[in-house]
Amino acid sequence: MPGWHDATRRLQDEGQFQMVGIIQEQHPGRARLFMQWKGMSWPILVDSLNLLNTSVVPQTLAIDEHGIVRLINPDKDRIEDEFLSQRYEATPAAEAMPPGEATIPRPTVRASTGEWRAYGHYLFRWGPPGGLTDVIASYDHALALDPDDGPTHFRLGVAHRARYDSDDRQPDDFRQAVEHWEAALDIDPNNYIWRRRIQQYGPCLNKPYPFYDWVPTARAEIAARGAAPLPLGVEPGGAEFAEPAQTFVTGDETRPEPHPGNRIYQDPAELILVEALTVPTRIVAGSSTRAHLTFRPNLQRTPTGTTKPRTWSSG
Amino acid sequence: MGTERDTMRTMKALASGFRHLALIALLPVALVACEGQPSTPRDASRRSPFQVGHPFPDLTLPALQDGRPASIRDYRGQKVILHVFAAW
Repeated sequence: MPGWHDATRRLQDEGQFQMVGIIQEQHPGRARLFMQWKGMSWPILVDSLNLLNTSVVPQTLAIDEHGIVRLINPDKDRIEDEFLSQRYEATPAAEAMPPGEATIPRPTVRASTGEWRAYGHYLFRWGPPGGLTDVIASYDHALALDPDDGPTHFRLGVAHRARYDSDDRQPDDFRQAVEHWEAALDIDPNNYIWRRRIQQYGPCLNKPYPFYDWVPTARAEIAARGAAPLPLGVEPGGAEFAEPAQTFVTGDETRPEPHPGNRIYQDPAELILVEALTVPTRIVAGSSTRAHLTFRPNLQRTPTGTTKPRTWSSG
Repeated sequence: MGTERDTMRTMKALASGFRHLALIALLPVALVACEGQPSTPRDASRRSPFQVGHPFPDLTLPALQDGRPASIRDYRGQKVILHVFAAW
């Protein structure tokens, strides 16, 4: 993509076309940093739910003045001859395109699967802050009517993970996200985007994928330019970095009693909540998994036993 | 979604072991030696939802820059080079 940007900069500056991007990201802020790093300022649209229903990235499309796709994955060195210099006439299909999306009302009790899905899609993009619970409920309704709907499993996972990253997170949001992504991948094992989503949070791979290895370099280069790197709402970690490669030694030795003479601090009042999740959630003997442990203060209970509203902060 | 029993068994095992983080290294699973995965899908060209000669899907999405509704429709009258991508 930076290759396209550099190769066609003159054409862009001359106004011969508009460069646009659509990102498939759980954490869109990372794309924001990437664009800052590469000095690209063209418009980007965020499709965290994968409403485009694309199962692979990256893809490049040449779209004419009437909204018609003319080329898929064109050669950037031949784009002038094969697309920009061409004249395209409006087609009946282009003329018949419906107007933009309207407001979608909350479905009734007898609503169909499609209506619940559409409402979930709508709320995720345009709903009020704190509305992810309603998004999750909408997708839950849709899955209750059609349990084998892979895309809805994926989107329910996206919504759970988004709520996990928000102030409204629930303790099992991350686990629910992973389980729904796994359900989606069970339905369509060939979906590359769904597979990478699980791999982001899973164990390392034999051929580690550098999801976000570029982040430290980007931050250093942006800072060297005298600018402040844009913040990331959620920092990458674990399997999202291919380097440095990490190994762990396992063994069969038994540990001595880890609680000798009651000298280990306890937490009987449960002032600290621990969330534990393995990715993947189903562990096969001899396979690898990644354990995610999150420690958070539990403000719901105090040593005196009184109850206070629990406040969740993003990790 | 998986089995509740398996998940609870796993969580209990982790909860009892994590007091000393070094104990994680002794979990009876390998934390190394992972399964290989291809870096790009071999049948990528056959799995695109887009068709030459057909309209690009009419979809309104939040703009990354400011969160406002945006669509490819906004660029009618201009040729567009569209990249569908992820930052990874």
